[in-house]
Amino acid sequence: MQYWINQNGVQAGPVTREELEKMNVSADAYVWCSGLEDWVKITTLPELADVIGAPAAPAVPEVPAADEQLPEQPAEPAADAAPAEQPQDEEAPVIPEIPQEEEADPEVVVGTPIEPVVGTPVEQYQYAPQYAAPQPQLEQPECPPTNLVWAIIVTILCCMPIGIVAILYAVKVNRRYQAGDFKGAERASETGAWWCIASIISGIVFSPFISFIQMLVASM
Amino acid sequence: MKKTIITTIIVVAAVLAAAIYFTFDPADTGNLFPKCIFVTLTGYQCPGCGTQRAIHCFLHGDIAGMWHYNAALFVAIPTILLYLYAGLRRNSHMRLYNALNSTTAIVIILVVIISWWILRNIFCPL
Repeated sequence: MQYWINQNGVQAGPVTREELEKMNVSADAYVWCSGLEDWVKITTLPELADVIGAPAAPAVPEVPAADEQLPEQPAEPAADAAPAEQPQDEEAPVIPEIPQEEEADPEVVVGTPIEPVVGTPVEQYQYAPQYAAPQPQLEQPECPPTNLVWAIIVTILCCMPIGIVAILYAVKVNRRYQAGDFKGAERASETGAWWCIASIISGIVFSPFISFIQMLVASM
Repeated sequence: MKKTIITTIIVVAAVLAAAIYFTFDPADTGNLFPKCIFVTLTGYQCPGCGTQRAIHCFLHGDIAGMWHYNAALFVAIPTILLYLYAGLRRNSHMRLYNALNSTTAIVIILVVIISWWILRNIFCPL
């Protein structure tokens, strides 16, 4: 399994799980791997739970290289790793730096189309960088509107059972949002809104038609 | 800007509709108010059937008539107003908004609507 990781706005990948372990990953990093619909917080993937902050402790005593990374590190993994850190102590400056230099290259490539990687399914590689483009999105956005009011209004007031479909889309918005699929939630929200609009429009379009038929029936 | 336009359209449409429903009675025979497609096709009432007549009654202060035509409005209208309020004040009433738009709330509303749909056809058939 290969992962893409986005940490403090810097994206890297593909990396293997072993590389992640060496990467000094903070708990608020986002990851993506094939099978996920969108980027998720690393803490939501149980299989990656133990890579978080693993080599964080050795970085603490080192002054020059580790300096910028220091503030982002959660305090508790440092304490956790404290007993185990001693053998790694001297290697520490070396290990984190190698992967980071490797990341620097793919990071430049990320902006351009993704042809360099061929071995694995193509869509997988188109997918990850595409989602990396809007960085601010990685911060959890507001949940898109469920349009529930409009769904109720068209169901009850417009005499349109179509409104029920719009209500079902409201459920979908919440479900996707909670799963971390913010884009999907956005799409469900829009689709739900369109169902409401379709219901209102079909009501307006059909009404004169129905009125006309009623008039014919009444005059007979 | 876009929001202002939409709000204006909705308010104007609502006032216009209220004027129409006040002046004309959808319960009159041979009127031109559109009848529900669902009831026309199936003979069963939909959750919203009777709303036009109920609104006419409401605008004339006839609460008993409103209850007779569509009793669900007594629950639906306050609910809708609450939702509109929470939606407009989303930022200052975060918790209210989230509670009203939680999956639980949506499912409850769905169940209420569908139960109303079924029960009114069993106990108050046309």
